[in-house]
Amino acid sequence: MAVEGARLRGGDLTDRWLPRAVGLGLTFVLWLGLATWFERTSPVSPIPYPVETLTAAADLYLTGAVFAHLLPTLSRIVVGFAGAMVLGTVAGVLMGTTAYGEKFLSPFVVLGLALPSVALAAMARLVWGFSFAAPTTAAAIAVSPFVAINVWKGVENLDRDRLEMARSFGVSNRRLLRRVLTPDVAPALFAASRFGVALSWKVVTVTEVFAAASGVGYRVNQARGSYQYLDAGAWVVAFMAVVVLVEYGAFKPLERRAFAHRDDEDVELTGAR
Amino acid sequence: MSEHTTDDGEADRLASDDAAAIRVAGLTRRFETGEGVETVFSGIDLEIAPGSFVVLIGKSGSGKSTLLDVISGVLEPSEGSVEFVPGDRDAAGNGRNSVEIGHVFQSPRLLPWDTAVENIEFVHENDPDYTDDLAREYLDLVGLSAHYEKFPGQLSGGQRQRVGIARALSIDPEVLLLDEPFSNLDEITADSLRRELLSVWRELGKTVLFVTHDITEAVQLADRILMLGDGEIYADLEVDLPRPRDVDSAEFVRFRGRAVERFHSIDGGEDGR
Amino acid sequence: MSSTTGPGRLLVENRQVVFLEALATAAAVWWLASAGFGLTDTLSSPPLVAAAVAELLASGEWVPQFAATGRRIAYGFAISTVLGTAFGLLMGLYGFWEKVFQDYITVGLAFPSVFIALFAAMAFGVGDTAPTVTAGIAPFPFVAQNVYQGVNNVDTDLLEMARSFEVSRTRTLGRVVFRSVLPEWFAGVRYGFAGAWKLVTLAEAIAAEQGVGFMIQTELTRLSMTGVLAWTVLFGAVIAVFEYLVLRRIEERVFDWREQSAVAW
Repeated sequence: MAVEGARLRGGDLTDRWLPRAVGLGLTFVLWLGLATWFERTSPVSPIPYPVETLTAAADLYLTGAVFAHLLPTLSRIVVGFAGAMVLGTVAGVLMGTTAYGEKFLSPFVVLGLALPSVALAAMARLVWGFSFAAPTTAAAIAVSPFVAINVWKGVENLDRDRLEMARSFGVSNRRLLRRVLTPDVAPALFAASRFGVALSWKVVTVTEVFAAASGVGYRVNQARGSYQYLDAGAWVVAFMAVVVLVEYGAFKPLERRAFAHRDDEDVELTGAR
Repeated sequence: MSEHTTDDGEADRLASDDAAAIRVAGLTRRFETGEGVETVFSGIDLEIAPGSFVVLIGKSGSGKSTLLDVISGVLEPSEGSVEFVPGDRDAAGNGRNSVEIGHVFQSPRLLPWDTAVENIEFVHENDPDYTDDLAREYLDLVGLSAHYEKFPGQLSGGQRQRVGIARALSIDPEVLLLDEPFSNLDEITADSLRRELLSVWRELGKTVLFVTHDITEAVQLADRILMLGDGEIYADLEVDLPRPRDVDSAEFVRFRGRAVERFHSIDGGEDGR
Repeated sequence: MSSTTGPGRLLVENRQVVFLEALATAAAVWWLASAGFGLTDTLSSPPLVAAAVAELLASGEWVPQFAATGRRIAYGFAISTVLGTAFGLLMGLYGFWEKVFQDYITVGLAFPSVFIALFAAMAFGVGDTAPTVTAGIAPFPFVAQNVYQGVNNVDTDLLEMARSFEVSRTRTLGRVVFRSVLPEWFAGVRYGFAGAWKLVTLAEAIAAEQGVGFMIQTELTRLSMTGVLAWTVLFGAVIAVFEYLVLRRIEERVFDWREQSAVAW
């Protein structure tokens, strides 16, 4: 064991960063290969070269041009996601606490999970037109079933023994909520929000393609329509920078803290459900 | 792996009385931990007679399971050697490869997706003589005639451990190694399994090495009790009580009393009933 | 479940009855909203959609569209299953590749699939390829993640047991590892399937001249909510039938050992 420990400390470089570098290198090579291949085979290459794309994406940030579409997208995501959390939590608690609620709401959850995002986008567009509300409601409707399921499972799995223990010691309701219920449901809620955010990125961008006149999804589709493929690539990269920042800057550290008392395996399990 | 002599018929295989002796010389096992090297035990010399029932007893953390793992070959010794001396059946052979070892674990370690028969079939990979009838015979032997096709999930804890014992016996081992096999069971179930293990042992005549932390269990089962503590075998008791042993008889209680005293003659640990 | 079966209890306890109640409530709210506020143009209404579905079915217009979509789903699903399983196994079995691809999975799970659809559309133009490629690539991180976790969660006690009894590596892989991973693999594959039909329809709306997604897009340009809903409802029904009649059956068959776990200590 000592050998392993020493290797971890001394060889962080080879153990953790080398594989990551290999991964990054692989991406680059794959991208370059695709770009070259399409360059050779099609008259107008749809896949821009990596270095050019990264430079163009950096330019979007340096000139501030990125914010014209990034801010609308992000604000739609935030509002849509918040709506989904509220809607999903209410539905999840109802489903977890009452038998009728579970039976009544689960068809809607299944329906919400099954709805193709194009259909959702089309409906949002027809109801709300090109407005802030269209992508926002689409995101809220698409994400809330996932939140509901997670909260429902979380409430159902509440440790009854622990509740009884708390009650037998006469613990007050407020203390019960803070010290027992919240930590118990937190992992499920966290998993829900993590997945919810990832899904919000997706649904909002989809809806923007069909039902918005601004936003990153709209912008990439517009670039495609006018054959500005480098532009499209740059916008995707610019957007992914935010996604990566949120994933690695916020979710990974939060995840480690939220699951500090749990086994590693459980943490892994909540990643993508 | 299989060393069954081919002229043994089905019935004979069940009643085979080949037993191997175990010779342990200068056995030492060290682990490297974060703080340095920790020696679990060192310089252990042992001679276990063929066909004998030897119980290895030690307190929690005494390293008894580690010793069993080293003897069985799951772990490599840091120093020293383990030799299995074959019985009559394959006197020509030498070294561990020619001696079959049957393992029974603390939790039964059954494949949950396989039936009782399939679980036994699993360990007969290269055995041309294997048929499901053999599995059924061994299940009969441990009293599971009604449960051939049940999945582990459909069996009680005691029944699962019976399947584990049948599986170990089914490869017709010359040595049977059991690592606290009854410690997860309730006392009534454990007691009936002990009786059955003894009757199977008398019938089949295997060399048995049995690990436990329960003195009563040790005195009830063993020809010989080895006490492990402070990295060495600090006591080696012959149990000369006549069989079958009555745990309430005066001589049993007297012997047990002496064993307990001896067991606690070194410091540390908290169990040993 | 319930010992007394009065009509009142049936209304709140029977799952099928409550299911119908839920659907009826939704339809009623929808109908009232569209008729009551005079929004039939925007919101359509249950009878309009029902009539449109009936017409689609009667005219046979749905058959070629569903055939095209189904074909693309099948190919895309196959690709994502193979890719996801391969990556998941690679990550689960080899520490090095686990570290190489962990970032792929993290980013892949969050990557907006519409970008994949858009680039596939740019690269392959109108036709079968763009939807298939989209449905093959976008969901595979989910499959991979599941397989990877499945491999990681294999009970080490069972592996040790197999080693103690000198069971070979091949047999251990087949009888222990494979069986352990199967439930998670299946969950991942189901996700891949759900992803496949969502993404095929998405890509069809962007780059196709046939298929359910293309039809939804067409109805959208005609600003016909009734049309959009008719195709959506029909598609949902077909998918639901497939889920329940095919995937559920397979799952029950494969995992019968889990069903029969009446533990008696």
